[in-house]
Amino acid sequence: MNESSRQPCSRRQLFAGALRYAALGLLAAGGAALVAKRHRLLREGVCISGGLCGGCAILHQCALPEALSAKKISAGVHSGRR
Amino acid sequence: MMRFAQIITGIALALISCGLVWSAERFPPPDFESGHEMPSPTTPHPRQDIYEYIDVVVLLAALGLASYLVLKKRSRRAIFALTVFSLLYFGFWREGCVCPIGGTQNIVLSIFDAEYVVPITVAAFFLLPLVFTLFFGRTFCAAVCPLGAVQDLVLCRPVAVPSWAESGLRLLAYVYLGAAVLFAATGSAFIICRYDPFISIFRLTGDLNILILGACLLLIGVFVGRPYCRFICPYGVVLRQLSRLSRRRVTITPDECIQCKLCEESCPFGAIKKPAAKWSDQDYGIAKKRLGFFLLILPVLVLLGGWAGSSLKAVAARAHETVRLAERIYLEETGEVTETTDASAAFRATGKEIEELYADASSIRAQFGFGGWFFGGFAGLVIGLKLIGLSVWRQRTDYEADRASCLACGRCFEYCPREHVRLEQAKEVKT
Repeated sequence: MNESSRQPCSRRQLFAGALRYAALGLLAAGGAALVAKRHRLLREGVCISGGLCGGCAILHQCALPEALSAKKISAGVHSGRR
Repeated sequence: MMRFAQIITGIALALISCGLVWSAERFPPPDFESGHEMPSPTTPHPRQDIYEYIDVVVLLAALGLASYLVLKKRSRRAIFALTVFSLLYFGFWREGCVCPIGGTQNIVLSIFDAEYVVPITVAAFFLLPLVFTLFFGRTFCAAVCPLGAVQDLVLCRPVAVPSWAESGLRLLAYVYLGAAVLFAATGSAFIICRYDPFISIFRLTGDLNILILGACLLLIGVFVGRPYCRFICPYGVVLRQLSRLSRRRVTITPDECIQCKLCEESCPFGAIKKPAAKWSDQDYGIAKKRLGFFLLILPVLVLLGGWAGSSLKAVAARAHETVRLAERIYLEETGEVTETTDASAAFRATGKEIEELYADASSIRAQFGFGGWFFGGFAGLVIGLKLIGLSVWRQRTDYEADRASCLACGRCFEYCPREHVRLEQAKEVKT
């Protein structure tokens, strides 16, 4: 047991500690909500890239009509066909 | 030696930037006969997903290393080296995007727009520095933020900013945060990114006005330590508040303060607080009355601010393209202007009803009116709380780094004689 852990916790420290973990919980809940929203929209078949296929992280697994078209064009460009 | 290295690095970076900016200007965009203006790029080209995850890993590693260097190693030299790395990696190589400061707007838009999803990497960039701040203080500002890094490098002749000016100027950051949230929530604009003063320097291209703004801030930054971080940065506002709750924090002395006063002038950011003598009975009486008065006027300030914010809705709503288009169409319909613009011609080509456009614009103005109450109320609340803070006495027996303002740069460490004793002891242990 070190020196600092033997010191009694003041009311201010206790309050700050409670607030700290409340803030941490809030950040965790916020992060979880963002991930949940992403999954929900993907499940509902809503584009999560604002219709921009270029640079979209999930283009390879996306089945929306715009994505299929983009993948077709992209495959054509890569194979040398226009 | 440290100052010399700083100056040389700063000059080298400035010269490289200027040279590359100039070389970018050597190939001007074509003149379109139709009058079309080449839009200036606002985001870097999309990159492969894997690199974005690598960036998150680098951010995590840099935050961890910064926290270790600030709190355990207590080495200004190592913090400076990490600062240079962050500037090169997150600034010049990563082109300043994604950054947690601009990420604030993505998070806000994600909350208010049911169909907008913030990318996981952006969310990570926004959240990780906040979590680290909760535990270790503002170590992100210390050595990871590229915007802070570029300002840190040019700081050569720091002058002290009077505390009243510092407090007053700091309000700008709160107002900027409020405005950024309002504009992002209404889907109008990402003003933090649009007016980021250093992004043009990092990308070596961009709007000339922004480039000039960045150059001016860097010029001011030669004398006033990190002006953007201290007085403008909206993310800094959040970090300031979280830093008050941090589990660990920067301590000037490694063990006990001997009140030698050597550190007093070492901080270029005015973040070292002197020991506070207890107020006299007379001062205490005055402060008590003042506190009562400020507590009474706090709701008035909030309401007044809310009313003022809401009154600006017509002007602020023009930031939204739908409102601008509706106003243009109205002018064309009433015959106040005869020419059409590309946007108005395109709208008419869609065949959409004008009344529908007016209704959309009206709805957006209402959103600004509603959001303006919150924005103005927030500004009023901040001013009120600042005034209340003036009337509250906080006990301080030693020289301390202010939890909220301290950017954890580590400059004060080497001024403390107790730190030198610690370093000597550490050397002896090693040998």
